[in-house]
Amino acid sequence: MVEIARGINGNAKLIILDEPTSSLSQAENEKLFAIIRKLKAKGISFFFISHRLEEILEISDRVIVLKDGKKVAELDAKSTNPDEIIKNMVGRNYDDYYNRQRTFEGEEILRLEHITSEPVTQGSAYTPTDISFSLHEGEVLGIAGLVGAGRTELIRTIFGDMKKLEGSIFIHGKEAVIHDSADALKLGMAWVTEDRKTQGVILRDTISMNMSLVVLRSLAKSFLIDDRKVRNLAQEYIEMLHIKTTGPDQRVMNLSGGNQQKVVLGKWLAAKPRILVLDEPTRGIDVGAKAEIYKLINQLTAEGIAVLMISSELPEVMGMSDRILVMYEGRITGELTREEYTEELVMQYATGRSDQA
Amino acid sequence: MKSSGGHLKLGKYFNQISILCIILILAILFTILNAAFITPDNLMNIVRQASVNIIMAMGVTFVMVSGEIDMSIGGVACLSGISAALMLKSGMSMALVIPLVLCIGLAVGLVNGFVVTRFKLPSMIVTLAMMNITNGTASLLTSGTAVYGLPEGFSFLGRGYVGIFPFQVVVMALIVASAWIILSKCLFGRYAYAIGGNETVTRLAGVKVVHFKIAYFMICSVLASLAGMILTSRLMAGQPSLAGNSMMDIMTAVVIGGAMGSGGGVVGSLLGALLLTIVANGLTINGINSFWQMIITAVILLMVIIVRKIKK
Repeated sequence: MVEIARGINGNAKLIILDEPTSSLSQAENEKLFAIIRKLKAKGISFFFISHRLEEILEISDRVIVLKDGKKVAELDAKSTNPDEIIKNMVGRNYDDYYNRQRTFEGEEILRLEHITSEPVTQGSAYTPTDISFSLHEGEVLGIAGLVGAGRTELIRTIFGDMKKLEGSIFIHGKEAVIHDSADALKLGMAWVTEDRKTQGVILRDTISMNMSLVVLRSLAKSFLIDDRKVRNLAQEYIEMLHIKTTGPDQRVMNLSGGNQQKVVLGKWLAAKPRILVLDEPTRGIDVGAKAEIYKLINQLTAEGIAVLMISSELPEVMGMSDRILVMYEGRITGELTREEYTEELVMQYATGRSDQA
Repeated sequence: MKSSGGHLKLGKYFNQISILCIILILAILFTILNAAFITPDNLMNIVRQASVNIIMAMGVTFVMVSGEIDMSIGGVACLSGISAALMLKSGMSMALVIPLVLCIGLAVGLVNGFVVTRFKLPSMIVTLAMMNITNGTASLLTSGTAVYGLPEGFSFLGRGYVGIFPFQVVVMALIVASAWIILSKCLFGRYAYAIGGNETVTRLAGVKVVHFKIAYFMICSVLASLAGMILTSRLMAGQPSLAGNSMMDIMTAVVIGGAMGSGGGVVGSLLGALLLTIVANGLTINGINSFWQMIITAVILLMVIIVRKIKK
């Protein structure tokens, strides 16, 4: 919000907002839109760049769609809909977008019982308290909630990045002791973090180096790293994930956000995890790359991999999850199955209504 | 989408080639100014002086590549030299003293690494403190005076030969070769680059960053310890002021070599150390005040990092 205030503070006639809402809560969003409308009334013009189609339609008068560097459509915001926008962007229908089908009904692979973390000291998120849930093979469990509800902190606790004060974690029914990512990896768990630029990729390194980081040990024979294997691994995932790049030797800092995210995914998939935790996996990336990631999630779960996905985008959480856990102020306030959940219900749980004892 | 794939191939070696060029230019310059520069005796001097610098630079390279800094190398070298001298003088055998003193190096590295990682403190400050602790201890042990009367056998380290090669050159070569293999081809070394690139990413990827960082500090200190003993052997005396400028010189050498940025490594540090040695030797041969050496070395450092920044 401070960044946005800075931009609006000058006496500009035209304000360009590039993805202003990706890290804002619902309330802050509404404040921003109110400000935009006020300034619009004074004659100030706005470019509003966003991947969130509902927002674009809410605040814009006209919508321009860019694809591969070209303008492919100019639509009137009042008379168009997300479907039409997406069709212009990816040439596919909205219904096919998430395409969630649960084909693998597996056993419980991860269970948390009464997990409470150490108090959160950095940032303003709530401390995860008394968290219990199960995750099954082949399932996508979405974790919804407002920004700051403690979802990322919960993941950090599971992976040992934050200490747990109480509670137990069970993998395949056996209690697990997890002090750090190394322990988690041994148990088959992978964690795609929220902020890829600072926690997901080593920007100055090549795709090869990033991709092989988690499994490096297995690419070495008798202490020497086999560089050919490293490049082959990178090449394999570049192809599998359709990463747009000049090759495995390209520095990750030169890739677009969506492709960087794919490198992070490739890095973790190389470790063949059985549990994949995704924290805001499609934040700040274009619709085309998003669709590819959804397709990937569907493919992975079809093979029996369990996916835990944190998302602040309601359509995404609802489109992709088999079940949704909703968190509010550090606690789980609701657990909904695909048949049960509606936008209102999720929002209610996210803002404090609770059915949990 | 920007692509810098093409630039990299050239850029990778640009740093090392340019240092090599500067070395050649300076060598020619110094020879012109004073033909004594190019005599076999002086060249041997350069090689010997460079060996010790290179050994220390190898250790510092590990630490710097991983994103940390070790300011205590001079102090460790000094303390090691003094300890070795005192132990030898008291009659202990070389076979016992040398490993023991190397252990002092390892211990200092362990402390450095532990304090930095356990308390998450900036390595510059921690190792600065260690520098004072080690230098202070060395002076205390000798009450500030030099230690003489070392057994003849000890001179082999700094003055002995293996065939036609000075012993310390052989040692240096072995260390350089090992360091090169480890840093560029082994897991242990690759992790150093990853940690230096982004410690959080590397840690979350399941690498025990703390363990590796401590190991890098230990390598740095043990090599400084070795260097201290070689220097003491050359002098055949325990000097409490030993390796006073080492820290600045070696650090400069390694930074010139590129270990602080993204391209650094063994070769760069080696060339950096060689460059610095030649500058020091050339200026001394031409009778130039040693304080000029400090200035010139620093100017070279500044020029190198400025050029690097502009190239970006």
